[in-house]
Amino acid sequence: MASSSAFLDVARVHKRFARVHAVADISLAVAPGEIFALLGPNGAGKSTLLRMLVGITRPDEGRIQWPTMPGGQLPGVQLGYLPEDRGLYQDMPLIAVLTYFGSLRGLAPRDAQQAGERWLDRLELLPRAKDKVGSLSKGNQQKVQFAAAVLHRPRCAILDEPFSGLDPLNQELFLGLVRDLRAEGTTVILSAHQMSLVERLADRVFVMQHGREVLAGTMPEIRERWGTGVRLILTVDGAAAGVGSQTEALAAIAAHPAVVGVSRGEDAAVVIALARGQHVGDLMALCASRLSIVSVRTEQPSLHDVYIDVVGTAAPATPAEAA
Amino acid sequence: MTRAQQVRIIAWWEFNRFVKWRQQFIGIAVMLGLSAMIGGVTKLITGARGKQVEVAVVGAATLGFPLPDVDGVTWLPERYGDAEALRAAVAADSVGGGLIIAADGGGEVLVRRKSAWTTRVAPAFTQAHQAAAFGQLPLSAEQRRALEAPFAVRITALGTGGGASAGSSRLYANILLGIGLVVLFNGFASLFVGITGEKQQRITEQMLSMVSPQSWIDGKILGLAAAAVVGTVMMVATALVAFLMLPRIFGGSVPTLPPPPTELGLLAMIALVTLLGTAMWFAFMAAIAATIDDPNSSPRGAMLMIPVLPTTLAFVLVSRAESTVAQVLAIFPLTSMAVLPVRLLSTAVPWWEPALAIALLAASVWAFRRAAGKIFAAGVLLYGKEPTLAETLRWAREA
Repeated sequence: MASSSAFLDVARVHKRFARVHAVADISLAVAPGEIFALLGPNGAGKSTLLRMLVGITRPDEGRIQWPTMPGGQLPGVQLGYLPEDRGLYQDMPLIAVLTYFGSLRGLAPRDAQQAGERWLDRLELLPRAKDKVGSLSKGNQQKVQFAAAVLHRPRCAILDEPFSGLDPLNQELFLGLVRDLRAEGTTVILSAHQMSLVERLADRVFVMQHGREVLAGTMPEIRERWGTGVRLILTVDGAAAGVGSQTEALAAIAAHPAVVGVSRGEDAAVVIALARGQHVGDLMALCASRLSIVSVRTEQPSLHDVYIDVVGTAAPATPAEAA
Repeated sequence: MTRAQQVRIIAWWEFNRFVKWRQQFIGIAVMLGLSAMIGGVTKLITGARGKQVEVAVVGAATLGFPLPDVDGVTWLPERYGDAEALRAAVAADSVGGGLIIAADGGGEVLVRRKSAWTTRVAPAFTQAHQAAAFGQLPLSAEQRRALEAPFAVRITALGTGGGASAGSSRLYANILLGIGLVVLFNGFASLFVGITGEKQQRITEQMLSMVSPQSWIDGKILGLAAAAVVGTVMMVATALVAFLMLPRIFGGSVPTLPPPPTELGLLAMIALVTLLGTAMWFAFMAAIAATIDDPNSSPRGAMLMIPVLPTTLAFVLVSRAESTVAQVLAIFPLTSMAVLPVRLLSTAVPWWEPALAIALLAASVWAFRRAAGKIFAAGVLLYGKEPTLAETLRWAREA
C-alpha cells in the first residue's frame, strides 16, 4: 500500500527492553476505514507495537505517523484503545465509568452518559447501568470495557486481543461490533489469536514473530504468496483396497509434479496439497486408477494453515530476541 | 480537550470516588451516637460515684474547723462515743467507714476493705486546715485580699513582625497541627489506594491512552487532596458538634474555647502555607505510590510515615517557637507547612520569612509533581515488579 494514502504509516520501527528486541524494523501502512489484524504467537511484539501506536510508549527508532491528521499525530480524542490488560473501576457503577471515559475522550458529560447508555442497551446491560462493575461476570466486564474504548466514535480503534476470554456467542457478538465500527467509518487495528475470526473479519493481516514481520497482505494475497495452493480432499473406500496398496497409491500420487504433499485426513480422507499453476487432469486420472474414490472436494488453505506453516517454519529467535 | 480540562475531570472523578456522601453522613451519625453513648455512660458513672459512703467520725470537735466536703463521703460526726466503738462498728460493717481525729492533729481512716474515697480525705483536710489557719492570722481585710490576689501578667507585642502572642496561640497552633496531620493521614490512605489500586486493576494503560501521565497524576493529587480536606472538615465539624452539644444534652457545662487570632493576613498566610504544604506532600506520596506494585507486600508503604516526622517536630517546637532551629525549619520546604504556622501564631517573625518559605514551598510542589509524573510515566508498565531506588531517582532527576 502506498504510504501517501495511508491513515497510519509505520516506518522501520524498533523497540527494545533491556536485552529483548521486542519490535524489530517493522513497517506497515493501514488504510482509512479498514480492519487491520496483527497476528503472531505470544511474545511476538504485537502489544508492544500497539502500545506505541497508542502513544503509551515511544519507538527507539523509526517513525509512526498518521498522515491524514494535522501534524501527523492522532489526537487522543480520536483514538479508542482496548488494552490487553483489561481493567475497570470495580467499585463504580457501569454508567459512571462509561461517562468518565467518554468525558476524558472529549465528549460533554451529558453526551458521554447518553453514549454510555446506548452502548449498554446494545450490549443488553442497560438494566444494570447503576450496578457496580465488580458485580458483573468477566465476559460482561469485557463488553463494558469494549464500550468504554469506542463509545466516543473514534477515528481509529486499537483493540488488543478483543476476543480473548470470550465464549463463542460473545465472540460472534464482538465480531459484529467490530464490523459495525468499520461501517461507521472507524479504522480498526486489532491483534488476535483466533484465526478463524480474523479470517472472517480482517481486510488485511500482518503476522509478526520475534518482533519481525513474517507475512502481510489481504487473505487472497496471503494465500497466493504464502499458501500451499488449493487442497484436494478425496474420501476413499478403504475396504476396496488393502492398506498396503493404498500406501503405495499415496506414494505414487505424492510423486506427481502437481502435488506438494499428501496426508491422511479424518474419516478415510486423503488430503492432497496442490502446487500452484499446475494442471491436475492426469493427477485426477492417477487418483481414480489407484484409489476407490467416494467423493471429491477442494478447499482453500485457511489462515490457520498459513499461520502454522509460516510461523512454524520461521527462523528461531536470536539469543538477544529470545531473552 | 485541554490538559486543564482533563485534570479537572480526573480530579472530580477521584474526589467522587473517595468522598461518598452517604457513607460520610452515616459515619458522622455513628460518631455522634457513640459520643452520646460515651456521654451517657460517663454520666451514669458520675451518678454512681455520687452514691455516698457513710463515714462516722470520732473527735471532730477537736479539729478547730468544720468537716470538709469530700467527694462521695457523708460524715456522721459523733455517732459512736469512742474510737473502740467505731472500730467495732466498721469491723462489723455497720457503717461504711470511720475517721478518728487525734487530739494533737492528724487522724486515722478506718475501712473494712480498700475504698477509693480514702485517698481524697487527706487533701481535703489539709486544704481545710490551711484555710482555717489562714483565717486565724491577725490580718486586715486589705492584707488578705493582697495575699489572695494572683500575679497579673499582661502580654504586649511591640514588634512589627505580626506575631500574635495571645494566650490562645499555642492552643490554636496545636489544633492546626492536629488537623494537618489528619488531612495527611486521610489523604495518604486514599492516595495509596487510588494509585496502586488502579495499577493493580490494570486501568492505567487505558487511562494513559487518553491522558498524559502528568495530567493523570495532577488530577489524582488534586482530587484526593480535596477529598482528604473534605473528610477532615467533616470529622472536625462532627467533633465540634459533639464537643459543644453533648454537655447540653447531659447537663454538663459547655466548654469554651478562647477566641482565635483574628488578623486576616495571618490567617491567609497560614491557609496558603497549609494548602501548599498539603499539595507538596501529596505530590511526594503520589511519587512513592507510583513505584509500588503490590501495596500488601511493598516495604515502601512505610515511607508514608515520612510526612508525619516534621509535624511531630512541630509539636515539640510549639513551646520553642523563637529558637533558631524553629526559624530554619519554618523556611525549609519539607517542614515549613508544620513549623511556620506555629511560629506565626506564637512569636514575631520577620516579613521575609513567610515569603521565602512560601516561595520554596511552591517550588517544591512544582518539583515533586513533575517528579511524580515522570516516575509514574516510566514505571507504569512495570507490572509485577517495582523500580529500584536508583531507577526512581534517575527518573526523578530527568523530570
